[in-house]
Amino acid sequence: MKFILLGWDAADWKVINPLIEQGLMPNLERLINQGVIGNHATLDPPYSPMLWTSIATGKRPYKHGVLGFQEPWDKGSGVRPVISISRKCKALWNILNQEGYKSHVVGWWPSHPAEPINGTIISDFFARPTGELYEDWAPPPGSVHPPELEDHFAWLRVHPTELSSNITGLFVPDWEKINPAHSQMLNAIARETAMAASLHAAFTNILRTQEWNFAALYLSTIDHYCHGFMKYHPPKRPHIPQAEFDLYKNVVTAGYRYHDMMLGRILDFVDEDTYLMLISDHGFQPDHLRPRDIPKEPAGPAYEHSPYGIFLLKGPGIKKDEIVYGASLLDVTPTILACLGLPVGEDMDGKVLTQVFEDEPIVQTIDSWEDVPGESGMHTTPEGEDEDANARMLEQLVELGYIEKPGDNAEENRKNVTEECNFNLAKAYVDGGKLAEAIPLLEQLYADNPLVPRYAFQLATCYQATSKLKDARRVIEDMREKEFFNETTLDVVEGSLLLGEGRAMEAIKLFKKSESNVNQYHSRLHRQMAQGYMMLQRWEDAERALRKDIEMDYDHAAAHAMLGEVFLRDAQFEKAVVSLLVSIGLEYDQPNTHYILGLALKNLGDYARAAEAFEVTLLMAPKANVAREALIDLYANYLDQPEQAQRHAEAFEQKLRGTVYIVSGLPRSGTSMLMQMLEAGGLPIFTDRERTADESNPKGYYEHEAVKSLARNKKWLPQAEGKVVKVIANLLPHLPPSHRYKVVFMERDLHEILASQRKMLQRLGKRTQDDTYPTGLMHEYERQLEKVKQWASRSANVEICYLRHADVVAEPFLQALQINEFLDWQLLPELMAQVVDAQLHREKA
Amino acid sequence: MKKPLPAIATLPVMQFLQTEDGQPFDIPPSGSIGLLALGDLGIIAWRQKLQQIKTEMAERTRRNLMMNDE
Repeated sequence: MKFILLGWDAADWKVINPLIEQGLMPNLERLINQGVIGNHATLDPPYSPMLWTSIATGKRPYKHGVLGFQEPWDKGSGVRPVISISRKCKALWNILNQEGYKSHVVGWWPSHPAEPINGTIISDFFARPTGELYEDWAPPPGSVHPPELEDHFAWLRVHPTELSSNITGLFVPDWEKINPAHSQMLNAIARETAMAASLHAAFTNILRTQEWNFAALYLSTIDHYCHGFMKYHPPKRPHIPQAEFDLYKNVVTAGYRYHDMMLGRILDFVDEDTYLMLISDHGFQPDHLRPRDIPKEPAGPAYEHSPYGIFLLKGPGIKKDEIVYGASLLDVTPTILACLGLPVGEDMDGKVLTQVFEDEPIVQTIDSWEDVPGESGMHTTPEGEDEDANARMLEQLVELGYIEKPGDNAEENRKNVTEECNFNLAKAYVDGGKLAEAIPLLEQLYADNPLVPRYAFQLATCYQATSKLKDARRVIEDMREKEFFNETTLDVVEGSLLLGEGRAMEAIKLFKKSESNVNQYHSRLHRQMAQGYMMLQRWEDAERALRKDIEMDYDHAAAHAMLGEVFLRDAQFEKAVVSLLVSIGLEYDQPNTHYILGLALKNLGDYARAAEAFEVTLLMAPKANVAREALIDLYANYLDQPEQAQRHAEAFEQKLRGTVYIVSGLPRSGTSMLMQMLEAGGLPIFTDRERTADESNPKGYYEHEAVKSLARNKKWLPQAEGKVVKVIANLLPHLPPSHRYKVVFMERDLHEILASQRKMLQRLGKRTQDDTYPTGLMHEYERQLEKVKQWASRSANVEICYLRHADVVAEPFLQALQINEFLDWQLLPELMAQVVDAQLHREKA
Repeated sequence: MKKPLPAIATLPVMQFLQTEDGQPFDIPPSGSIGLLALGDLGIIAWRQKLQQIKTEMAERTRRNLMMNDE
C-alpha cells in the first residue's frame, strides 16, 4: 500500500472550479471523478506553519508547539523562523518510521533541519534561492537527509535567473511593458516558479528512483502567487488600475495551470493500489470578498485567506465522485493512518473521515503515539543553529509581508516574537474551545500592552464567551478611555457584549451608529443587529438587517440560515424552508441549519423530510441530542416507526454528557436555603458569588451570573458538570438535552412567595402596590409551574424531585434524607439539616 | 575548485522523453513550463540540452579559430 500526500498552500475550489469548467486543469478534473472531494475547515489562527504542522500531526497548535512564523531564539537577531525542532510531537512520518514504512517528505513547512528518518527529507529551506546565479547557490546545511544525497538533489534545483521569458511570459504575456522599476513583480513570479520546480524535481526523482510507502510534497507557490497577484485576478475591481490589471490578470490562472501540469506528472506514479490526497491549509478569497486593504498587523496578509481549504482523496476502497462534508485539516493524519491500517492516537484532535470509505473501516486507536517507543527519526540533539539559513528564511517572510523586519535589538525582537507566539497560542486555545486556558495569556498580553487593540478585543470576547460579562465590560470601558481604538470595532464588540447581557435595544443602537462605517472586518454587524431584533421578536426588522448582509455578500450562508430562523420564529414556514435551503446549498456542512430546517418542515407537516433533516444533523453532529429528541418524537408520534424511535432513544442515553444537579423553584421559594443544604452535604456548588448576602437572603444567593442568560448562552454547562447550580423555574425548559439533569424543585405556597417578594422589594426600597393583590402574577406563576412539570415529564434526560418549603423548614432531617436518596446517597444529611434556620421562614400562609 | 557533476547529470533521459507519436522530444534551450512540470527528467533534459549547446558552441569557436589560423 502506498500513499502520496500533496499540499498546495491556499488552493481554493472557488478558483479551481471555473478553471476546470474551461478545461484548464484536466489532470485535477480527472482526479475529481476518481475519488471524494470537499472543503475542509481551517484553524485559527490561519498561519501556514501552524496549519501544516496540524495537518502532519492531527493536533492543534497548543499540542504541537509551532506557534507562528518565527520563535524566540537566544542567538543572532533574537528570533528565528520556526523549524523542525519547534514541533514538540511526532509527525506522520515519524510514526510511519517507527512502523517500518519508508517515507519521503519534500518541502514541508517547517521541516528544516531535515530529520533523520528512514527515507528522504528535503527541508523547506532547500529550494530558497540565494546568490545572483545558479552557480553561487549552495544548499543550506541540513536541508537534505540523507546528507550524501545533497549534491544529487542540489543539482536538480532551478534558480530563478535560469527562467526565460518562455516561462515567465506565460504568467505575464506583456512582460516587456513592465516598468523596470517594477521588475520585482516578475522576479517574484520567477522565484516562486523556480522554487516549485526545484521541489517537484526532487519529489519526482524520489518517486521514480526510490522505494517508498509514503511520500509528501508541500508547495507554497499558490499562496505566494495569490498574495502577490490575486488583486489582479478577474473580475477587475474598480480601484485596480486598468494597466496593472491587464499586465497581471493571468498570473493566478497560470499558477494553477502550472500546478495541474505538475500533478499530471505525479499521477504517472499513482496506480490502483496507491492513495493520493490533495489538500490545502486554507483557501484564498478570489472574488468580491478580496480585502481592499490589508491591516497593518503581524501576519496581516492572512486576512486574504478564506476559511476553507480543498480536500481530495482517491485510492483503494475510497468512494468515487462523491462530496465529503465536515472535514477539518486535523483529520488528515488520522485518515491517512486509517488508510494504512494503523491506529489513531486518542490524543489527536482530528478524526478519521470514515464517510470517505466504501466500507466503513473499524478505526483502531491507541492512547498516544508519543508513548510508543522506537526510532521515530525525530531530532534528539539541538539543531537549527545555522544563522545564515535562518536569516535568509526570515528575509523571505519579511518580503511576503508575514512578519516585520527584525530590528537591531535582539532582546526587543525576542520579546515581540514571544508575545506574538503567546497571542497565537491564546487564539489556538480559543479555536479549540479552551477559553479558560486562553484568558490568562490574554490578560498578561493586555496588561503588558494596554494599547494593542487586538489583545484587548480578544480578551473582551473571551470574557464574554465565558460569561464574565463584568470583566468584558471593564476591558471595553478601558478601551473607550484610550480614545485611539477604532470606534467602529469597539462599538461592534460592545454591541455583542450588550447582546450577551440581554440589552438588545442598546446593542442595536450601537450597531446602527456603526452601520455606515462597516466594512468586511465587521461582517457580522448586520447579523448581530438581526440577533438583537430577534431577541425583541421584531421579525421584520431582523429580516431587513439580514437582507443588508445578504446584499453585501449573497454567498453568506450564515445570513441565509439566520433569515430562515427568523421566518421560522415568525411562523412563516415556507419562507423559512426556502432560506434554509439556500444556506445549505451554499454551505452544506451546517448541522444547526439542518436542524432548523427540520423544525420548519415539521411545522409544514412534511414529517418525512423533517426526519431526513434531523438525521443529517446527527450525521454532522452526532452529539446533538436536540435533533435526536425531535426524531424520537417524529418516529413515535407522526411516522409510525417505533423501532426507529427506540434506536434514537437508546442513542440519546448514550450521548448524554455528565450530570448537572439543579436546584430550582420560583423566586423566593427557598432555593438559596436548598443550595446551602446541598453545599453543607458535600456537593460542589456552581456559583460566582457575585450576588452577596443581604437581609433578604442572609446566607447568600448561591447564584451564577452566566445562568441568568441560559436562554441565549449554554456554554457554561460543561463547567457545571458534577456540581449543583441554581436555575430559576422559568429557565428550566432552556436546559439543552446534552446533559443529564437531577432537579430538586422547591414548591412553596404562592401566597407566601408573593408576600416574601413584596417584603424583599420593600427592603430594597422599590415601589410596591400594597393595596392590590397581584393576581396576574399569581396566574403567571401557576402557568410556569405547569410548564416545568410538563417539561420534566417529557424530557428523558431529566429526573425531578419536588419538595415542599414548609416540610423542609419543619422537618429538615427527613427532607435531607429524601434529597440524599434522590442524589444517589452521596451527601451527609445530618450536616444538611443543620443549616436550615426556621427563623428565616418569615412569611407564612 | 568546482564540484564534479553528480551521476544524475549524465543520465540518458531521452529514452523517457518522447512525443505522443513516439518521436524524440525537442528540448527548447530556453526551457519551458512543460519541462519544469515534468520534474527531474525535464530538468535533466534541459540542462543536458544547454550543455550540448555549450559544447557545440565551444567546438564551433575552436573550429573558427583553427580556420582563422590556417
